[in-house]
Amino acid sequence: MRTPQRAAVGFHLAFAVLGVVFLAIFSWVFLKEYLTEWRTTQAQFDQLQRRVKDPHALSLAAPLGDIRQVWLPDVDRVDRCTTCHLGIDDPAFATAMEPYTTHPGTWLQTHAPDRFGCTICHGGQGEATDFRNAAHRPIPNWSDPMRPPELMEANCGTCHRERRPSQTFWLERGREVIANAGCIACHDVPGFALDDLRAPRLESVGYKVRPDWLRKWLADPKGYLLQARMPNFRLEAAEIEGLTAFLLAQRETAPLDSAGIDWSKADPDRGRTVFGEARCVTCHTIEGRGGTMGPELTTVGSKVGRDWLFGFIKDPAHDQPGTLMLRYRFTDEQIRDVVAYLTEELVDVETPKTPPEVRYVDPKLVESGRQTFVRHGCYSCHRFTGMMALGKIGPSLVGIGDRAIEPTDFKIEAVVPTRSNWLFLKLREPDRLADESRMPTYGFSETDAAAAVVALLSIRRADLPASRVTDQPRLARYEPQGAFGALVARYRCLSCHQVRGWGGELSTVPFDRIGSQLQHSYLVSYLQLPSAVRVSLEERMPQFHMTREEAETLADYFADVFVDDSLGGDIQLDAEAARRGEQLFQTLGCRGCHIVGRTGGYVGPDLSDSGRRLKPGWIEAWLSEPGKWKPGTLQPNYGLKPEEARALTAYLMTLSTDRSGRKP
Amino acid sequence: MTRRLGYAGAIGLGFAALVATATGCRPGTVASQADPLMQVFDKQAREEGLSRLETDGKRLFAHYCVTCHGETGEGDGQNAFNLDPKPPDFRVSLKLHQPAYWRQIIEAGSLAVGRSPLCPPWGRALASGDVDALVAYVGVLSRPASEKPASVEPASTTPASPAAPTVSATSARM
Repeated sequence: MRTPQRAAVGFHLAFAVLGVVFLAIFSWVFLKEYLTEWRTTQAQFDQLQRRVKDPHALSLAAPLGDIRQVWLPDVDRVDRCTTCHLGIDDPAFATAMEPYTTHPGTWLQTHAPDRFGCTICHGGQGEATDFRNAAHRPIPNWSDPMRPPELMEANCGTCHRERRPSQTFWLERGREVIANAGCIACHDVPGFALDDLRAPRLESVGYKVRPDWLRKWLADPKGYLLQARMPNFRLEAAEIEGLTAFLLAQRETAPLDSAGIDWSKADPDRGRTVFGEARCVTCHTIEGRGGTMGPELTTVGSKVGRDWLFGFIKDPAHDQPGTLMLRYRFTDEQIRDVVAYLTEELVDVETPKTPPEVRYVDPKLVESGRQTFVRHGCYSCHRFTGMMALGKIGPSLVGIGDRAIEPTDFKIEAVVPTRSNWLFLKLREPDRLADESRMPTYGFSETDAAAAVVALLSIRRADLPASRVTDQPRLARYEPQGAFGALVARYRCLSCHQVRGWGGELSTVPFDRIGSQLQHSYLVSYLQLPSAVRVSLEERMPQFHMTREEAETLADYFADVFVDDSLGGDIQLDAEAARRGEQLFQTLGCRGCHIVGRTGGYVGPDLSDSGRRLKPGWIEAWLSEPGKWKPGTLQPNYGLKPEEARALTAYLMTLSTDRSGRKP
Repeated sequence: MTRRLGYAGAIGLGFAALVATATGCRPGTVASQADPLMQVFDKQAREEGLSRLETDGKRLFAHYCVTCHGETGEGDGQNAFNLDPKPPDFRVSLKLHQPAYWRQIIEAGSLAVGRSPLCPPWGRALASGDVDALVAYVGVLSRPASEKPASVEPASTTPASPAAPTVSATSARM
C-alpha cells in the first residue's frame, strides 16, 4: 500500500538526485567551455607572440580570447580556422610550428583571406573550432575533409576553369588527359566541347583498311600501337567478326580514282625522298621518331589499301572532311612514289603481303555488327551518318566532384571508400568496383589516371557566383573566307598555327600579328621553300610545293589583316646605333642562344638573316618586353633602355645571308 | 523500494544518454584499407624526395635552365657546348656561395655578380615566389648524389601493411 508520506519521500529523493545531476551538467558545461581546445591554443600563441614580437608590435596585435571567423555569404561559408591558425598572415611567424606558422608562398597575396577564407581551397569543416571536427583528417559524416596538396588542385579548378590554370600540375595534366581521351564523346563534361574530339569518320572505311588489320585493331588497339587513342572495348570474338563485316561494308564515298596510275613505274626510293622533304615526320611517327598529330606509320602498309592511300594523299578532305592533314601540291607521280614507299617498305613482316579476300556478305552478320557498333557507342567518337541523334551513351559528369560514394560501391573492401578512390579505380581498374561498367579500358598510366581524378573532382554541382569564376572565353571557330580562306583550308594552316586563340599548338608562331613581325618578301619565299629558323626542332613547316601566286596571296593577307598597330612601322636606324647594338649583342651574351653566321647557340631562332626576315618595329617591341608577347618565353627580359633596344634593332637589321652584298 | 530504484535507474540512464550524446560516437577507421590514389601521389613524392616548393622549382628549372645547365645541374645541357665559359657544375660551384648569391644570379644575371653575361637575368620574367622555388631546387642539385633523398629512401614498401606508410607520408606533407 502506498501512503502520501511515502510518495513525498520518493519525490524528495528524485528531486535531490536531479538537482545534483543538473549541477554536475552545468559545471561540466562551464568547465568544458573554459578548457576548450581553441582557448588553450590561443593561450600558447600568446606566450609565443610575447617571445617573437617587440612590445610595440605586441601592443598593435589583435586581442585574443574570441573565436575568429571569415564569413563568405556568397558561397555560404563560415571559416573559423584563424581562431587557431593565428599567425597565418603574419610573416613574423614564418618559422613557428603549426598551427601558428605563416602561410607558405604568395598564396595569401593572390587569395586574400577575407575574400576566400580557408576551406574553399583546403577543404575541411570551417565552422568547427577543434582539430578533429575541422576535418584535418577524414571524419564520418563530413564529405569534404581537408585535402593533401595534390587533391587541393581540384579545388583550384572549381573556380579556375581555364584549360591550363597556372601553378597547377595535376589539374592541368588531368584536363589534358580528359581532352585527349575524348571523354566528351560519351559524357557531358563541363568545360570541354566536341571540338576537342579527334577520330576518323568511318562511312567509307570499307575502302580504307585491310580486314586482318581491322580485326587486330578491334581486339586490342594498344596491341597495334601503344599510343593508340582508341580504348579497348573488351569485345568478344563474335562481336569482332560482326563489327569487321559491318565496317568493311561501309563504302559511301569511293576514293579518288587512281586507275590511270602505272604502278609498275613506282619508285619507293624516290617516294622516301619526297616523304622526307615534305617533312611528313613533323606529324607522323616512324619507328619511334616523329610527331604525334597524325597516325603512326611504321606498319601503315599492312593497314591500308594502296588505292585508298593514293586518293587520301591527293585530297585528304575528300575522305575525312575534318582532317588535320594538309593537301600537298604533289604531282600524281610523286604521290605514286610516296604510296609505294609507304605500302611496300613500312609493313609488318608477319602480315601476308596481299590482303585476304573480303568474304563478308552475310547481311545478318553485318546487322549484328551494326548493333554492336551502336551498343558500344562507337558513333560517339566516329561521327556516323544516321546515328547522330542517338545521344551520349555515358552519364553526365556535371557534379561528379560531389558524387556520393558508399562502401558498397566497391567490390573489394580493402580500399578506403572515398570519392577520389572510386574515380581512380573507375579509370584504372573498373572491375574492382561493384557496378559492371560499359566504359572501355583506356590503359591510363597511374599518373594520368590520378591527374584525371583531380580534374574530375574540380567539377562541382553547386554553381559559383560569376565573380568567383575565372575562365577562358570559348572562342568562335575561326574560318576565313575567300582566296585566303581556301588556302588556309587546303594547307591546313590552323592544324599547327593559332589565330585569335583558335587552332593548333605545334607552331611557335601565331598569325595574330605576323604581318607586323615578318617582311612580305621573306614570307613569300619562305612559304614556297620553308627553311628552318629554329634548327634544333624536329617539327618543321612542311614543304607544301606551294605556287608563287599562293604564297603571295597568303603574304598579302598577312600584311593587310594580321597587323598590330602598336608595332611601329618605320624606325630610324643609323649606322652608329647599329655599331652600339653590335657591342650590346656581345656584352649581353646573345650568342649564347642565337646563331649569327656560323657560330651561336640553339635555344633561340637563327638570327643570321634577321635583316631580311624581321620588321624593326617588332624586334624593338619584342626585346623591350618579351613576356608581354609570349608569356613564359625563354627570351630574357634584360630591362633594356629604349635607346638600347633601338641599337640592338639597328644591328639585327644589318644581318643578312644575302651573298650579293646588297644591304637589306 | 523497487519504485525508488526505478526512478534512480531512469535518471541514471538519462544522464548516461546525455553524456554519450555530448561526447559523440567516434568510430575508428579501418586500418587495413589501401588508398590507391594517395599511393600514386606518395610514390611521386617519395621517388622525387622533394618538397612542394622544390617540385615547383624543378618544373621551372626544366623550362628555363635545363638547356644550358643540364637535367642534373652538372653544366651539360644541350646548349652548353656552345658557351664560353661553360656552365658550372652545381655540385661544386654552389658550395662556394650562399643561397642569397644564387638568388642574385637568377634575378639579375651572372653579369651582375661580375661573371660572364651568359646566364641572363630572369628577375623580370619570374615572380618572386618562382625565384624562391628555383633557389630551393638548386639547393637540391648542389647536394652530391649520395645525399639526395631519392636514393636514400628506396621506392619499395613492405607489402604486409600497405596503408601504414601511405598515411604517415601523406600527413607529413599536409
